[in-house]
Amino acid sequence: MNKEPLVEVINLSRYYKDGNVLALDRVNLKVSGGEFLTIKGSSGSGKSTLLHIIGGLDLATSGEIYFQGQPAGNVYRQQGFRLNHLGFIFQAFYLWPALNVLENVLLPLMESSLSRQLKLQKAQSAVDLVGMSDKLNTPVNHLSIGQRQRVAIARALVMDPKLILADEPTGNLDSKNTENILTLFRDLKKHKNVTIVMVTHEEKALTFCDRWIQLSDGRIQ
Amino acid sequence: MNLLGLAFKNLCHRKIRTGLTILGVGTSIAVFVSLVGLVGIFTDQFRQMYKSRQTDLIVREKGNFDFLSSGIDEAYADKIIKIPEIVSISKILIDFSLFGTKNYFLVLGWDQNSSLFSKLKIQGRRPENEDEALVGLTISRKLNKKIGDSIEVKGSRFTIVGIFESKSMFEEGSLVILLEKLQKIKKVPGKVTLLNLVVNKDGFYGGKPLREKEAENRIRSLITQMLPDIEVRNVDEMVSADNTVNLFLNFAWAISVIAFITAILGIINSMVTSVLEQTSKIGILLAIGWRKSRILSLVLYESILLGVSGGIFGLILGYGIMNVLMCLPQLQNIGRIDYNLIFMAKVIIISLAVGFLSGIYPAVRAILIKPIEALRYE
Repeated sequence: MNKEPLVEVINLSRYYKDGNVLALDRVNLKVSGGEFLTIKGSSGSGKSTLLHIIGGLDLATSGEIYFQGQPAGNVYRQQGFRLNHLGFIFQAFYLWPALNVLENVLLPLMESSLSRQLKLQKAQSAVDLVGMSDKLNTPVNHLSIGQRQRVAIARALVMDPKLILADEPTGNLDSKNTENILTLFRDLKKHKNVTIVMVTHEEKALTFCDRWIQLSDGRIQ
Repeated sequence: MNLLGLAFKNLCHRKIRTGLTILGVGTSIAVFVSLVGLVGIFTDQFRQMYKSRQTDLIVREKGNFDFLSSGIDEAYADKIIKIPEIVSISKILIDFSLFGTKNYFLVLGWDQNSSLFSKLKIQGRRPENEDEALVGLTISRKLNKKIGDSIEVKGSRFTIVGIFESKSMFEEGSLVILLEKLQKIKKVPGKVTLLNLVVNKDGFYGGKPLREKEAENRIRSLITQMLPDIEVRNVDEMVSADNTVNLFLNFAWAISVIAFITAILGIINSMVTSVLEQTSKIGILLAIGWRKSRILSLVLYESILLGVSGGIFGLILGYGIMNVLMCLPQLQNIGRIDYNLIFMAKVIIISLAVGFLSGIYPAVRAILIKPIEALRYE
């Protein structure tokens, strides 16, 4: 693990509904490079909001975020920043049902200028990493729920991001698949040195991560 | 996989909606193909008829709605023939007549020694008496008439003395009798519908050869100075300025525009529904870093694919409808269907434009999706 913070959140607040609902209240957080951090909390605690703001999908009302020491406001505006540095995984997978496994993983690469051959190689490696190489040409709607989440993880990994943001990735999975996915995250962190920030209310996740924090009413406990 | 491939797969994934949309667009395009195609057949056959007669110029009454209502004094021919560049002049009187209960054919009145007879391939001979007729091959086949049989035109009985073939199907679906007889039948003594002029374009004036357009303009001006109540047109002008043809063409286009609007609304409906359905998936593409321009292109590609597929289906359906229509007794003699590649290419381009226009609104809706809202959508 790299001691230098990859992401630093300083005094971050987020209000909703014309300032009447406080989702995040002066949150301070450092995420080191190569760290597997779990953000735990009940529904409405603000954990997904924090993840979305770190990922540049939502804006903070106040406070600052730094990515590799640079103000996030500047780096997130760069063309292709999210594509090249961040990987997203969601509870609902958001796979394209018209496409097979390989094609879904190729989606982020469609924005890249790499050669067709290289794109295919990268996509196949990502599929291989999540243990789905025997299902390359299978339509995603023929896969089990656990396999679909693996495809979503491969899609998040295919651009070799520095940071993976996972929002309740095991929320739709049974206990066996939950364990498999958490093991996969731990292995990815170990072997690829990927930084993972995962939001969950799954107690089991705490045993797989390096560190966890608890959010309650928008505050870190 | 490229963007076009992704668009294609998306459409294939929504089989029923895609199929129904293509069916709707195709039907609209088929309306255009069949209506404009039929008018095209009509005008092409007109043009072909004049060309087969080697017509250079046509003289008709000024200010008439269409050529059939034209009526000019046949004595004008004697004045016009005095112009040195005129090689030949043929008097033509035209009428439509019902044969049997449902077959309409063109009846042409020509002089016995008209040069127009020489442009036909005649089996038998040309009419020499007022009770003789020359019939086109189409009439002969349709009414099962042969040389020696009789045929009735508006109460007058004629003996068929010859059957002719022409380069124009339009003309082949006609019957030729002597001019004087048709004048009597129509009760227009001394009148003709048109004068058909053949011009010597190699003629010399003041020692200089005249080019085609110059010869044409000089003759026009000479004739209209001499006879101010008539107008002189070349074949293209005659066809394009004919009010009946234009009326049909405008009608066909008006119906087609309504059909195109229906097609556009059909695609918009289909695409907006699919953009709404795919809000979260479009959101994830934006979240992972896809540019908005790529999302815009994806939706436009889908919409253009729908338009073009509808266009191809519409072409097949449209030509199918035309084939069925051409079997109707009222349309059997107007000509044959021309599978014109340029017209087909135009239809595909129109379909592409329909697809593109239809895609603009759904595409704009797609790029206005905010990733964070899209991810909350489901």
